[in-house]
Amino acid sequence: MDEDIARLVAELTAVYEGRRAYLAGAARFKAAGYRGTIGYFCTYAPEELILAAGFHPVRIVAEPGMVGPVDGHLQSFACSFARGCLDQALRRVYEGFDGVVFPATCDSLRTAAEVWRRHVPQRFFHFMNFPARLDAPGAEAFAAREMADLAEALGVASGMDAAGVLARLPGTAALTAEIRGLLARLWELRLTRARPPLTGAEALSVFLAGVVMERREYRDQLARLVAKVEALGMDGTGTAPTRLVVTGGVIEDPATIRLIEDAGAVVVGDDLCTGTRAFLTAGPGAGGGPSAGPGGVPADLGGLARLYLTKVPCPTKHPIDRRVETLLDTAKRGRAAGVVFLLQKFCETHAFDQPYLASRLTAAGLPSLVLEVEQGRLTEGQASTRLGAFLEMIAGRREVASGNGGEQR
Amino acid sequence: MTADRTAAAAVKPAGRLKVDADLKRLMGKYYSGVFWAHRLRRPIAWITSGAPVEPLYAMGITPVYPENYGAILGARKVSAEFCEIAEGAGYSRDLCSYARGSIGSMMADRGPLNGHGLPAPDLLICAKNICNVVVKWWEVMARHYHKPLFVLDVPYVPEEPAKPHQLDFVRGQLDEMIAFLEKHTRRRLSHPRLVRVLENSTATVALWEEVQGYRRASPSPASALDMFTNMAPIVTLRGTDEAVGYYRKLAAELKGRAERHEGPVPDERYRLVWDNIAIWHNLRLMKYFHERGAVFVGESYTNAWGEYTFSPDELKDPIGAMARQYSGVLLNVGPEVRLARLLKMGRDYRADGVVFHSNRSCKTYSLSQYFLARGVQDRLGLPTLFIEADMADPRAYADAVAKTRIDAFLEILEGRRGAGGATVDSTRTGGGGPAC
Repeated sequence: MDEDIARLVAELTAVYEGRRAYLAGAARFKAAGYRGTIGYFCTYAPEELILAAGFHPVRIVAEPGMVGPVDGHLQSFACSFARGCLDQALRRVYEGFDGVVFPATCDSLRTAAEVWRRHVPQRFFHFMNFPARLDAPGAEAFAAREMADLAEALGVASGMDAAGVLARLPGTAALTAEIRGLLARLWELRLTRARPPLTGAEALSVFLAGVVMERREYRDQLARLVAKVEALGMDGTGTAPTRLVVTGGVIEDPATIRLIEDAGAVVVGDDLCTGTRAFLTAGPGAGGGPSAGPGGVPADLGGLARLYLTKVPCPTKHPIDRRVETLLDTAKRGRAAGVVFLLQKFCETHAFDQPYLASRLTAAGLPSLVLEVEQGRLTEGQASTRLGAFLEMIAGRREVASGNGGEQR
Repeated sequence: MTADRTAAAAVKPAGRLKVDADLKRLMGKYYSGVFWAHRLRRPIAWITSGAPVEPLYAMGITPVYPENYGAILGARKVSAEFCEIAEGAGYSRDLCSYARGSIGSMMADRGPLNGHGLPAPDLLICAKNICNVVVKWWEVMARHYHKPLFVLDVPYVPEEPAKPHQLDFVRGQLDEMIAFLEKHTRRRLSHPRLVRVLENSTATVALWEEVQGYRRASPSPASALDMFTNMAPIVTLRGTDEAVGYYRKLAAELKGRAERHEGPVPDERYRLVWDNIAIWHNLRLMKYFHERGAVFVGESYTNAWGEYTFSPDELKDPIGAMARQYSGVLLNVGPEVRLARLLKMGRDYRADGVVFHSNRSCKTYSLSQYFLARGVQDRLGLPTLFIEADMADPRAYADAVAKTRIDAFLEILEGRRGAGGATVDSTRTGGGGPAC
């Protein structure tokens, strides 16, 4: 890898891996003019509004490992991601935060929000309803109104009124749009180049740094990285490993992707909550796929609502066609040889979609493998064995295809 | 416990309710009607239990409830067989067992009612006011049959009442749902007919409330065993004349039992409240309680069906009334609201303890239970028991473990009787325990 790229990736990775220390540096945020830090869940929380209210937004992700205090609040069959995040909060990992924003997503996170509301001592808590049905009549008005309520609550917390928050929205929306555009470009380069400039694990680290870092600092670092990658021109030399796409929910540990890549693959694209679903938008009726892009710059709450309603949807939303089409398109354009499902244990919505997605992938000639992530981790030995067999199967298919006188795709 | 109970001590346990025979006929007729509708090519809609069914009945569309079917698979002890078919098709064993059972039956086109699965739908209606899962489950079924699906998105209501803009959102979709029904069935909704059906729902609910009210007596004239089976018509036939007629009979029978101090546990030592869906594959567990002097006098699950009521004033705007009622259902409200309803039951029914079925299949119902248990203990001073099970999948339930914990719980209750109700404890199947 190019030295400059390696250094930039390493710096971003260090921010994510050292996020507790990074976020503890309150002076950094005060110097940048922030009033405090607010955590948020999920890709449906409008971080533009948190920024507009003068808070530094930090995405809440679970840290891999065993959990403790959450056992007193949520049964073991609750989604392992919800349990992991709540456990951290109960252990006061977010003590320095001013509050949290939960958008409506799934049943487990809704309950986690209620536990958080009662048991995590922070001065700000907001649950934001958001349409589950993206094409409902009135969905945009409803989402905009819920966002207005959030803006008002954030305004109170920050000492400015809602009008003050909304006045700053175009500026913060322009900043997040820039970040989305840079991420979309970087992901496109990974997807389409014969030799991806970043591994999947590196790309995930780059993404995750962006939900922790001061956003202007992140934008600048990301812009430097994208410029270096653009200039690199890494097409077409050496033996490329098997190209895979991963799909699932929140993957908070780059080691999960590294495990896949260590088995002899490179992850060229994704359909993850900590990946494309956070920055790709497909216009209504566009059918996802090639039209999926970073979206525009919303000027007001209606525009912000439209932006989030037209994001590539997660499985808690209905209908899911745009997600399916985008995944198929990603795999096709990335010349992927297979798809790996990374399913959080007890995540019902993803588990329900998996057989259908697998059938659509099979119809498109793409084999898939399901791996289960529990408390942020794959079961290493078992996952490696299954990945090894999966990659062997893909290699076998290629041999058969080449024996028949042609490439599989 | 009370003088009433002492008077009834020598009385034999009341057997099955006489209306059970009517119930069997009624539900047989309902399912027979479903299969006939299919043969006669009358429109059939597969619908969630929390969805507004009244427009369907008003339009002559036959509603079919896969959730009720999931319970039937559980009660007839064939659920595991159908769950395994779904699991074989890739559906995780961690998913709702109603969903897995009904999907398995759908895929195999087999089932316990007439040898086949449920008759295929012409359209599907799903309301997201009971969980996210139903949306995913209904998507699977709609894809299987290539039939149109309508999803009614009902926003979460953390605190009652729902905000006006949330109700506006639901209302707009209800208008759209009616247009969807009209388009796909080529039938028109008559608003006077809709009001008539909503009046029937209200009458049904009033009778259901009357039935539940008789359970305040000691001994309770009915137990959870009776109510779990007798809730079938209020789920499937709410809004019909048949449901009103049936619950009139049930109310009369329970009134008579209460007056005569009859009940399934005449020597009633412990009055309990049940939280969550029944363990359909092991309803006999209720008898285990009965044999030890314990009877369930209330259930949050059966109680939840007393919510669909529409006043004459509200019926001037039936769509708005439905938007409001279907937003405030038990599983769409915040835990404080759920707790308030549970505490009211505990007080109204003079409960001695609350049993929480920690139901692996139903996350929405189960995941607030530790909070509810703490509330019950702190605010009513009542002990609580957790039974870890699954509503329809017997593979996720250990009978011996549950019974050991039940015995320990009843010993606690007995100790409190001697100590004048001073001790609060919580008992839970399996290791660990909630922070209660």
